[in-house]
Amino acid sequence: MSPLRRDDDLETQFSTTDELLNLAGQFFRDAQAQCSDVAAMAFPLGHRLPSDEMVAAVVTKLRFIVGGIEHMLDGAVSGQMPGPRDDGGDEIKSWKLLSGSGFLQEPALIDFALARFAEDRLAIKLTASLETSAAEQLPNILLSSGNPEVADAAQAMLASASLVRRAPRLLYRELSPELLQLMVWRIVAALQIVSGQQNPEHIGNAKQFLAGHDESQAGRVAARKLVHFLPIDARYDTFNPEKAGLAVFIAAVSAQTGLEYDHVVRLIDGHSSAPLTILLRRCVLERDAAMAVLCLFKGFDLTPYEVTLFNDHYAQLDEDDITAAFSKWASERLISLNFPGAASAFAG
Amino acid sequence: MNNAAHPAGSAAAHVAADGRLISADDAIMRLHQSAGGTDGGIFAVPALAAMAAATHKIRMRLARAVCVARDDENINLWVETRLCDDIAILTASGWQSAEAPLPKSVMVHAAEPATPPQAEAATLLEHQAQDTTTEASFIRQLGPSLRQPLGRIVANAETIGSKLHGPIRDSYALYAKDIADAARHLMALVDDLGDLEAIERPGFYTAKDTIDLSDLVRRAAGLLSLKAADHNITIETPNDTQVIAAIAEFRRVLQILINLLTNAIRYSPAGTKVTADICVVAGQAAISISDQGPGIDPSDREKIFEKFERLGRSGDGGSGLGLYISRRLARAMGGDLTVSDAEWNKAAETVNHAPQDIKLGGAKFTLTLPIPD
Repeated sequence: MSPLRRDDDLETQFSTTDELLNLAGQFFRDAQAQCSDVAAMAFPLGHRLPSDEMVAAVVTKLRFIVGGIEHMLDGAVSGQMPGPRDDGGDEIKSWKLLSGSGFLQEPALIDFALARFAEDRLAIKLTASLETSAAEQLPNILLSSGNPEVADAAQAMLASASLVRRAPRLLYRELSPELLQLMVWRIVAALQIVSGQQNPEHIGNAKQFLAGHDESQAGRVAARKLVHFLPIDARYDTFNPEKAGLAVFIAAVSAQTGLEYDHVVRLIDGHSSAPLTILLRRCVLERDAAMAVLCLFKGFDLTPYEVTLFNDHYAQLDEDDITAAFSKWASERLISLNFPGAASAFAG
Repeated sequence: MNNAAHPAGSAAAHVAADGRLISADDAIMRLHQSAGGTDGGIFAVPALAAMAAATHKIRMRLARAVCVARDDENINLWVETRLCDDIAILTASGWQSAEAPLPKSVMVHAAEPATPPQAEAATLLEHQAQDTTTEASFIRQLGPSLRQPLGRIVANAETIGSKLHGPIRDSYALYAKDIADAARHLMALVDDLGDLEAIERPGFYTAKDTIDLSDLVRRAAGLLSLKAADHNITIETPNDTQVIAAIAEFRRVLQILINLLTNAIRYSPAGTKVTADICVVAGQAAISISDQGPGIDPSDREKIFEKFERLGRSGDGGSGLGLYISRRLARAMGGDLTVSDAEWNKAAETVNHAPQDIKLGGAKFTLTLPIPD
């Protein structure tokens, strides 16, 4: 599962001949590690095997996060913006230590990366379906809303999207505060181990950044806030992904279902169309409207069986059954993603 | 849906590190008491107490939607928290009954247009929806077909350039980044061509909103602040007290400003500044964007507004359509877009921003728009 580690080792370890024992010491664990690696591949827990694209995307996102935090610790605080686009090619000093120690395998962190991967995939599908270049009309219009909460949320959402698109290594700013704090201090510690000495500047920058960080400026939180402050009667368009844009659509579904934003993203991008069908039913979308959204995001992946299920049962789904299902999904997710330091209150 | 029992604005509460509710506005105090809390006791509203505890624990600002119970009612709130002198300050706003029903039918592709209360927004969306349905044209036919493969090219080239599948020679990584940049350029071109087609269609229409130019300039500058910082360029905007209203379509003016500011950033040397001013000239509202770049020769000042005119430049990410589209949009809104020399000479202080070897010339683009009667 870790081609990067192997390649890095090959590159660096054959530089001298007297390190044979050292090299053997690093690789002797492969025999045991292969047991768990092979078992995970042979007997996956999910219905969908992780594709190479998915694994590569997760690694890329994690590299952006770790690299971005390192960059911040090195002094990019106090409103300084990053330099040229960081594609993860720069050396990330703590990467090897963090990946080797298992710190990057935190389920909440992987879930965050997978949610961003799912968002990318859904955004591509949405873009491909748009008939004009004016995507996300609704947030643009809401920039001039008379309600300052809505206007500010729209601005924060668009600015955050623009920021991360322009400088992917700022992705760490989208992490939940609990996870962000965990990652920042782990990276401070890792850098200390790598350099062999404590760096007061890193500690000071970490404190300063965390104290100044505002969760409401994260894109998905701003989208959720925007939906919250829209009057109920004005939410028609938020359930139309083509008009509302992906973030507002997801936030609207999240608000209506009570599931977390990232949970909704991952359910929509999941292997089956069934979760999306149930989400749409909870949002009271009429059958034709729901089918339009289903086709938009699932398109050619819809099987005749899924279409039949939808046609026969969408209108008959019981509200109480759906509520019970969501409650079960949310609690299972909460348990699986819990980590030391995680707060019990998660953003809706 | 707000109802009479919910506060219209926000309500605040102060929570100590040990979980005690120190003080609270009436609305939150009522929640606290409804949950069995007492004066000076532990904050009894579970979701709010959890946020306060998290704020104390991680000492960061949180912002979340939460659902709380009061008597027999569930209420959705937007809660933001911050820490001040070791006391968590909660601000709850957007009080809505969780039972408020959604509209019975949320018709995503309904035959009848939706009628949200924000009439202007609805009109605009409706109008744009008509644009898309009547447009059997380039973007409709080819846009999606071009964007999807281009998106894949960008994604794959970036994966290669980032050496995710193992080490490759640095020169190959650079080639991959060139491929990604080229594909991004093509995607921007597809967008521009879509706009071009829209504005050249007979009956092209722009909304006539009353807009605040100063606010618009600050929004555009905000969206480009990162790009400007990358180039070590400062964008100066009008202050809050300057308010000039104009009659134009908000989204289109924002599009023009982003285009002008992007150009200013692209062609200005590092260490310089771009200034956005607003004023009223000859009965029209005007926004001017001045830069400290090389300026534009008088003989080229009309040419740059022509379609695909690049003045011999290439490889800088431009399509040669931005200014053409911007001027067409400005004229469609009853205004105009012109260019002249920037007036930097008298402003000696501006030199402080630029390295000494930079010659300050600069161009000044002026967007004029009608003002309200």
